[in-house]
Amino acid sequence: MQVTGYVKALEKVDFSISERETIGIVGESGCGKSTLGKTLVKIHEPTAGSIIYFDPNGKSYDITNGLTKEVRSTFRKDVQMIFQNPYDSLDPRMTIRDTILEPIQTHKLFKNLKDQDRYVRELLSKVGLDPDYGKRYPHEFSGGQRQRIAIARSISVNPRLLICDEPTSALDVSVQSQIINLLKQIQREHNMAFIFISHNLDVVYHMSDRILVMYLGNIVESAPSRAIFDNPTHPYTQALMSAIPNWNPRERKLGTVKLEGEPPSPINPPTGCPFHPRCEFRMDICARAKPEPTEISSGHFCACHLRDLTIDSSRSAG
Amino acid sequence: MESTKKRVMQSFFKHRLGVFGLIVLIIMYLLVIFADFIAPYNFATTHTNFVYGKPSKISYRDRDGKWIGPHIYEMKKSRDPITYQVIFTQDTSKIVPIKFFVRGEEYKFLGLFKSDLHLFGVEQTPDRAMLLLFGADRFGRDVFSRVLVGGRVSMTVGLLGTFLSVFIGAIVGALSGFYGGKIDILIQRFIELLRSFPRIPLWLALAVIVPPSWPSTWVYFGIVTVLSLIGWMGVARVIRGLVLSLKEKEFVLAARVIGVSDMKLVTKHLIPNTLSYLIVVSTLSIPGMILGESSISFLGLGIKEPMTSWGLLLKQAQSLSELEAHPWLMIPGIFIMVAVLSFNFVGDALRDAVDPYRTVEKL
Amino acid sequence: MTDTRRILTVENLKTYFKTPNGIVKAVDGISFHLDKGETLALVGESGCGKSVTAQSILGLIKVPPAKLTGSVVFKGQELVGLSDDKYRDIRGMQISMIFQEPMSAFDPLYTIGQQLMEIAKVHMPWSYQEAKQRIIDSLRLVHIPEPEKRYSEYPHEMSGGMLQRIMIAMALLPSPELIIADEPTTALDVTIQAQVLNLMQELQDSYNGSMIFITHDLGIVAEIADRVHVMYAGKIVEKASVIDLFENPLHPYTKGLLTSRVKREYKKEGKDLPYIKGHVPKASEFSTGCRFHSRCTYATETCKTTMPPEIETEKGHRVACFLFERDDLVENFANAKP
Repeated sequence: MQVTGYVKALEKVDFSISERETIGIVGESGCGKSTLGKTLVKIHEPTAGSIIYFDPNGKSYDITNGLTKEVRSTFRKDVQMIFQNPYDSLDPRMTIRDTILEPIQTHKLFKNLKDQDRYVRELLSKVGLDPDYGKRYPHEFSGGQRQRIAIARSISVNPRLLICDEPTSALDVSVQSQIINLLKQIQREHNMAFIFISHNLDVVYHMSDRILVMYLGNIVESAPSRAIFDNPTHPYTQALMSAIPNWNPRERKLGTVKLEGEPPSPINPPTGCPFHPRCEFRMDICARAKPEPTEISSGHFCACHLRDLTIDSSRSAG
Repeated sequence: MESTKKRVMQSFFKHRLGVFGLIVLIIMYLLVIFADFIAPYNFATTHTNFVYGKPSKISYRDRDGKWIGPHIYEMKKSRDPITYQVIFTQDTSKIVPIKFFVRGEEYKFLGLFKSDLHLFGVEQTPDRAMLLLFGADRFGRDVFSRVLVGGRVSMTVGLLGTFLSVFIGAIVGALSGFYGGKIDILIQRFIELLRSFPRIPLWLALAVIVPPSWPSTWVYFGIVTVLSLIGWMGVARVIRGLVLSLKEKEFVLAARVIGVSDMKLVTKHLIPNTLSYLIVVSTLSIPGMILGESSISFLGLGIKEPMTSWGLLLKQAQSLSELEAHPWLMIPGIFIMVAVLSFNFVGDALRDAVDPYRTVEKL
Repeated sequence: MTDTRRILTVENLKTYFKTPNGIVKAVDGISFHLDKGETLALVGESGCGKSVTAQSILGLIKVPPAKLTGSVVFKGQELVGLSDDKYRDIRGMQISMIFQEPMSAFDPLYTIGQQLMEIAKVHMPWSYQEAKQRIIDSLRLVHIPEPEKRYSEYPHEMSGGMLQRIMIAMALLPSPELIIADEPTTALDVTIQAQVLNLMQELQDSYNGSMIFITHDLGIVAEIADRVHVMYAGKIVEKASVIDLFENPLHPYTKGLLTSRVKREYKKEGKDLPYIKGHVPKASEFSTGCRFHSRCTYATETCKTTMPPEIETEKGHRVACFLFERDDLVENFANAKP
């Protein structure tokens, strides 16, 4: 096999998450948002940087280079993930009951088999399914029902952090809202922290406290979710917003999208600012230097040279 | 998986050749299992009066054209007055009727208990008349009986050998695909190395290791081992490919996030999901095993007398002059062909049913 | 109907498939028409039969095993029952199709130019040089940078968005009178989707061709359609102009789809998202009566047993629902807007 280059899916991503918080991650395909999710649950290894995990007693562990024996079991119980494709995320050869039991048995939550059975039935009804469905196999269920099963599996060990990787994008529109509501309800009841990954800005807004906008493996803007919508600052965020159809046939907006071209290949990323080849405001410096994130208002960070300029100029003016 | 099973069954039974092959195989296995009982003679008993005996001609009517049921005639031995060669002529005055459930030569049924009851045959002693469906060999042994008994080796070598090679192949393939990296490269290069050897010399080289002093059952298992030591490589490749694609499936990722151990991941998720492919691969690799055993025995390095197999039976038909004089010695070859074809038909039908997109290559 | 502007009339089209689990009525008696220059959107979720409708019109459904009845009249010619040879003359020439997956619509072994040339050779009386020039022009038309270079490149060297635009170029090459686009932007990112939709709109305006646009995304419908037909479980449940559909949706399913958009207000008010209960039925398990009744909040006993007729509430706005059979009910329903 010939190596043409190594894909740097994640350039530089800094953020932290605390309990009961939801961080939304939004971006287009290939921006590295799924890689980020998989790196956080430790099924991909990062090449650099660090991931720090705080166990329930507040003790901190550096888990960047793999899980040590000491922390493995608590981490695997504490951090769970829901995947994008419900047709792919359940083992076709296992019954629903066995699927949900897998994490429970792996972490030996119950000694008594009767309690264990009762718990599985409880979980099924909690996610809105008939408890008797446990005997059946995945192929008997629709996409929405399968996603409910996947949710039941991931919350069975009572994780503190749930990573949702595009949990609704493979579902029919009329079913999407059901799953979003269910996730919200579960978060309220269990005080979980969520990392919600999606390409759909509306859905991310609905779920999240903070939103990170990613482009080619970089976070280009991060802010509380309202600030992102009310005051999108990075040119990419602005373009992304303008591309969402607004469901009003009297106000068509397709012609107003100013974003030209397509995201470059992550194997061969552009120099400087990753967005500069498509940016309508690009300047000379953009191709040369990568912009650092700047705080433009409380908790609102944006990585764009344009911002530096306005701040610099306002400083020099003042 | 109820509906999948149903779909696979339906699709299989639509495949006419596959169903035909399956029926043929069932019949062949029944013949082979009850070989001693079905065969009219003990496969190892020699009959000096019938050395190279021709296949018997079965008649149904007497000299006046009256229907008297299937029968053969006694043989009269005489010498050619000029060449002094022994010749047999039919003594049409002595009718020997063919009957069901006759007492004949003694055998041990499935090696368990003694019996002398045969499904069919003649009541006359074998020095005067023999019912030879496929003729006799140079020791006067009934080829038909020998084909049935020899089928035991040939038809089970494939099954056992495949079982063993699929077992080894599945484990090695799953490890190679699952761990990837250095382990994978090592295993793959090793397989390539082994596969780049020509097959027959490799079989022979391995078969030579089996000591000639071993009893025939040991030799039999020796041959099975030799065959599966080579056969597992194809299986390992297929399973590696499947595991490579399966391990990126979200249900496997989900299990990893849960913290399921690698061992359980392989045995609970990966291998069960390759099961249907394993069945197809197994069926398709049986013919190779059958041919392999035949080749080894044909070349004289496999099963030894008094045990027999189709390949060993064919060994007698090695020379052209032999073939010209006694063409019936080729009959075991037809059995090999029919068995191999039937397994191929069944394998193809199974593959079409389980794997309509042909992800598994023929081995 | 000898209206010269009418380009396609579909009358009571039914496409049934025989499967081990019984007969699947993927498309079950739908009727609609299309005029010159119009864009008709067929909206529905998975399994509603919108793609099968397109394939039935194009003669891409294999008959038998499938069963196809009804009538599809394209420019005065009946298409149902047409021989494969004759269909081939129409397909690609007068009707083209744009598929969902640009990656799988191209043969990886041939260059873009070779694949486009194949179409030009079959359908057009051009010389090689002329054809090549026209292909390059058409690539330029769909905003492919450096079309001369792209002409001799292979599909894998291009991104999904670019291939989708090349597919549009391919569909437009023989200047068809009808384009059927089956979820052409579903596999693309939002920013690319906007570019592609924009391009399609632009080209359609200049060609004055007609288009059937199949999608599940009402946001796209609002951007691109003139008229909209909403499909559910093999039936058309509502037909309306795009303005009417968004401002005065009638069928409970249409209303449900429209409210399933995640609006920003819901979060501010701390409310759950409105949704349609239950799940989309598989094509093999359509219910009797109105197929939406098990998910409908207004369902009555009649809905469970009888298929509702298509009722015209005003000109050009038709709905298949018993709620609109009696005027007093219509008012009740209108007042009870969610």
